[in-house]
Amino acid sequence: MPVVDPDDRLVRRAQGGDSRAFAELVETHQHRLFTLAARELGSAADAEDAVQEAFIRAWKALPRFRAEASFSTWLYRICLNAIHDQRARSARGGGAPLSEVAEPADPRDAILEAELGSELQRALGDLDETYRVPVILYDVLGRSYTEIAEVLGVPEGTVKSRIFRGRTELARRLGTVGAAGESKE
Amino acid sequence: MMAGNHPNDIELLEYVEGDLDKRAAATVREHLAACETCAGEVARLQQASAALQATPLLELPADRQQQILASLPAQEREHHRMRGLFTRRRVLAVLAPAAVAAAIVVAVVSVDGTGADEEAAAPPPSVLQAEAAPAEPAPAGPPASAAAEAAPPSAEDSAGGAEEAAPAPTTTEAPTTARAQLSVGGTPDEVATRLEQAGLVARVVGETVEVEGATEAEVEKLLEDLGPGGVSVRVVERQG
Repeated sequence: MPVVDPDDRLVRRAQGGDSRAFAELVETHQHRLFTLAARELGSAADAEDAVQEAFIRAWKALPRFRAEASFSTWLYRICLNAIHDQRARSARGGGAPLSEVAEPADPRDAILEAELGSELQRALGDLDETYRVPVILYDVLGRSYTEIAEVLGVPEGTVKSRIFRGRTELARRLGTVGAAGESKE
Repeated sequence: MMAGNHPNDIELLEYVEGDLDKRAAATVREHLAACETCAGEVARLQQASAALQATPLLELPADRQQQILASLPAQEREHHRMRGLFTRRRVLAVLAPAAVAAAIVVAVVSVDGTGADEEAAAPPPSVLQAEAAPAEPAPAGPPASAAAEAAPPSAEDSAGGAEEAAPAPTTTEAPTTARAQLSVGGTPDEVATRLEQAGLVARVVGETVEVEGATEAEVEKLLEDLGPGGVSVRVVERQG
């Protein structure tokens, strides 16, 4: 329960239809949402589409946004929904419906490519989504247990359990820590 | 606190994250020195965390950002129409014929947000539904479902939220008659927003904006810088 939402003023302006205020919100949150989407989907093109869809949904739903959760929490929820839908579309072979897949020629794209082709990303991709999402939110995006609990609608204890499970599974998949002691009991 | 002799998962995570108080941390540390199993878990927790935290923030390409922003105005219309329909408590009053000695007022209050704008509240990711993880505490989360939680605010929230953000006068909607009609530029939603910001009651009906609570001249003045265009603005007044 955030005391002060840093986005509050922009959100109120955007709720009044001010698209420039919304553009600032996009600016603030786009890379984090993209990171989440790219890590979740393992594909830059799919992630871009999911993020675009998320922002469009947020824009449309903004008048109904009530500051019970922070704007970013709300945005993460919407983004996770969009990611989920994007994954389903891709699984159906729907490709990238919102745009042509861009062929980038930017140094940042090399980073992106390397990141999404990394061993870590493969290991993440093998994780169950239930564990992967909290781990990405916590370890990659630095969100708090409280915020993750709000995003996922589960208690904080559950978030911690999932992070524990996600991390330990991930380490096993990365394989560099000895697999001793698989069971505690 | 500790199941068997082992710290539980949460305690181990909290230990790694430095969230335990000194005493609890010392207890765990002591246990780790003697327990290879838990020490292995801690090593895994640390290793995965280090690997993840070393990853960079991935940047959304600038052209996609532009594309997102460029695609918003088209959505704006939709969104304001939604707002007109669903975010204001609508009170409909039907007046009985004047011949009847006492006017009978039937007020139908409809706070209806369901079904509208479901896209943002689309089916939740399975991560939100999946509670089958063994050994996890049962979520004491939102009663309805994680779907509802993941969804942006419910119908009630809708009304409340929008009212909070942009208080609209509660209206008693009696039949209206048009007093004047203008044609201005912009989109119906821009026009409606502008009128609402000036404290008037405005609603988008298709390509037309109905406004009440002001004279034609006042409305004209408020919208004058939009210039002429394709949006019809009907200045209406309540009957009865």
